[in-house]
Amino acid sequence: MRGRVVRAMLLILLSTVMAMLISGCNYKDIDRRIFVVAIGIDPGKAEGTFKVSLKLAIPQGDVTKIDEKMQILTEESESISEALRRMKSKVEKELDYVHCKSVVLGEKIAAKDIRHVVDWAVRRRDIQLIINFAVGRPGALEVLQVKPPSERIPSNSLILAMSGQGTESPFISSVYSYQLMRSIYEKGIDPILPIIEVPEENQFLIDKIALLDKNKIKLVLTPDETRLFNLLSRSDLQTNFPAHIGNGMYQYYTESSSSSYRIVNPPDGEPYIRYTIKIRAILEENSTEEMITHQMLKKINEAGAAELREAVTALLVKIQDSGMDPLGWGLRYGSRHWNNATEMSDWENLYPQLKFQVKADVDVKYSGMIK
Amino acid sequence: MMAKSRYFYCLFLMNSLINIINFTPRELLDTRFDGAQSSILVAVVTGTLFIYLFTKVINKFPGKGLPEIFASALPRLLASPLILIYAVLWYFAGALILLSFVDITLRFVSPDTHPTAVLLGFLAVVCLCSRIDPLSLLYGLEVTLGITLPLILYTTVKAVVNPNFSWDAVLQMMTYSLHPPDMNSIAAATFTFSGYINMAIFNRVFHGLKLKHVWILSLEGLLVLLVTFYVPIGYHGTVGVERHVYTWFTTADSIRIEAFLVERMLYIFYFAYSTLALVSAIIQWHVGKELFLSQLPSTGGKPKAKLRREVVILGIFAGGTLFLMRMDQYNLNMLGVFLLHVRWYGELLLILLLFWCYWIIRRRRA
Repeated sequence: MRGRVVRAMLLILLSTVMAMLISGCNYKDIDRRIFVVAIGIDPGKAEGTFKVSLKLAIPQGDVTKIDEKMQILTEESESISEALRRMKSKVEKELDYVHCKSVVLGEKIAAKDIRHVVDWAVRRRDIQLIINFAVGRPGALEVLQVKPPSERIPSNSLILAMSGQGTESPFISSVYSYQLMRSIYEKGIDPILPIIEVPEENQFLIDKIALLDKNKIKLVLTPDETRLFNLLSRSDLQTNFPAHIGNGMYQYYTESSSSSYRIVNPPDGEPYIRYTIKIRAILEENSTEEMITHQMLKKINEAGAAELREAVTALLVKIQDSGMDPLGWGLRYGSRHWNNATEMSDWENLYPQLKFQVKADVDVKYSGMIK
Repeated sequence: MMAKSRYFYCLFLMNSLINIINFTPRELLDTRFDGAQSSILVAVVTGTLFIYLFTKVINKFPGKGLPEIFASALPRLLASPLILIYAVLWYFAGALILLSFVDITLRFVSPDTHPTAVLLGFLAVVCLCSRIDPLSLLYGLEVTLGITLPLILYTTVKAVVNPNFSWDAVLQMMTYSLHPPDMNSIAAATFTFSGYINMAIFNRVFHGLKLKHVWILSLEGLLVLLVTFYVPIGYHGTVGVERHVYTWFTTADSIRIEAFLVERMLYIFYFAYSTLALVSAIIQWHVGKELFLSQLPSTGGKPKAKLRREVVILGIFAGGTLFLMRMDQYNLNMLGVFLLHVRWYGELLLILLLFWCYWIIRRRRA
């Protein structure tokens, strides 16, 4: 009986020691850590070096009385990891990247080659794969320094805006690092990145998309084109589009939207891509004094669809002229063809000859709260 | 006490789910352009066939484990080496799961912890638990599956309904399916079906296994393999997927869950799989330990002597695993792939041996 008790005690002691070993090893409490919330990477002064900036959030106890405390560290080095290690000597606490949510690439980096940075961000084990990538204009550091008055937690505004958890702007497209990695290596799709600008102090603007040819920026879309691109690349984009009838201008708000496409290659005739866009909408603005009748709604539908068709076709032709494939048409072509050895070269020959047919189906269901 | 037939399904399910961790997706994805998909179909057929044959023959020996069956039918000079070889195989199966999971823990959850500390923690749990009697292990397994299965299903559903999931990449992959199957991939994919093999020891608590609907097992295996193979491709692309080491953990890391306690799916996935991996290692080592024990001379029913032997065997198991920690990522993978092959041939041999034993015993009786 006594032997049993002793053995049980020993067992408990052993497991306690084990537990202490596991959790106690190198574990640092939250007050000994600083959380990196955003990483900015610019080219350094010397050729081939990086200027790495970290935006740090300092943990605080009482959430209701938070006074934003943040710090930005900058270090130049020929490698990103070296710069980060050197920055460890600039703070008294351990830098923790687990809560880092965004990587901002300076425009100059994005204009040269992004693959080095993407490889680093995906390879590092403590950086999430659902981190948002963006291009900072004029540089990443300038973007990190932005501190909007509405912000209460450091860098939170950037995180909320880029991930779409806060504002649901039709001009922002969020790109996670796994998506970037996927489209860098995939045949038949090219990466995109949102651009963050700093037009004035403490305010940022994210309304453009950069199209990349696997490793560098080749083309930047205007805000209007960016919105149309988002309409084509995701469903239920919440935005407004215009419809002009005579002198009257109408704006409709999209309640739901969807788009799909088919690549058609008829044996006799020209190959084309047929886009079908379906929008259900509510009228939001009416520049004329007239009441909206059923007849009028139908006219708005037609006018809106025609304008949308024209704008989308122009965007598609612009993308085609750039030679890039941000919407993944090549991958779609490959996924519908079984001749794996030749399909990609077939596609490369086919792509410049493509024509576009856009079928826009705008259905304004309601005139809003008034007729 | 005897176990109900549903615990057989639990053993099967455990093995088919655990394959996602390391070697199976890696081998399948390595040959994704050269026959991984046809290998999956071949593996489903052979896997089901193996299960069918094995359960048929093991049913002829109700309540008997592999050592008892071999002892009653084969000469000792043949039976002992065979049992020892199988014991080593089972040991390695458990050790590899532990080593993979130590690596995964370090990479994804706590990079600051010392590897040996993590392994010691795992070893403590596994060594202590693999001494538990088989029936309790099966009950524990059922409970663990009850906890982890919903989480795994949630991860899978969440992974597939994500709008960023690239279905075009998956379809592009499917256009590569007209390739003759590949040996490595078949060996990897059949691992999904090899949960039945633990019956070599656990049959001691089954008295007459009644299997209904074997097709459910093939269907489940097929679904698991398809998810294992296609979901990472939807996230990392047909080309980019080859760059990831623990494909499924990076896939789980790519899933964001909104409006939930945690934002990263990785933690849920890690919790589910760490539990399942430990239970799986416990069961493998339990079988390994029992096989080794059966080769030692009888203790005459003294519990103290048995305990001492178990401690020695498990001590050797743990020491060996600590030694294997010295392998790097590529060595570990090579050992894993080697084991996948050996295990497959071992299964085939085991089924043939059991049929042979049955034939000998029947002839003796006649």
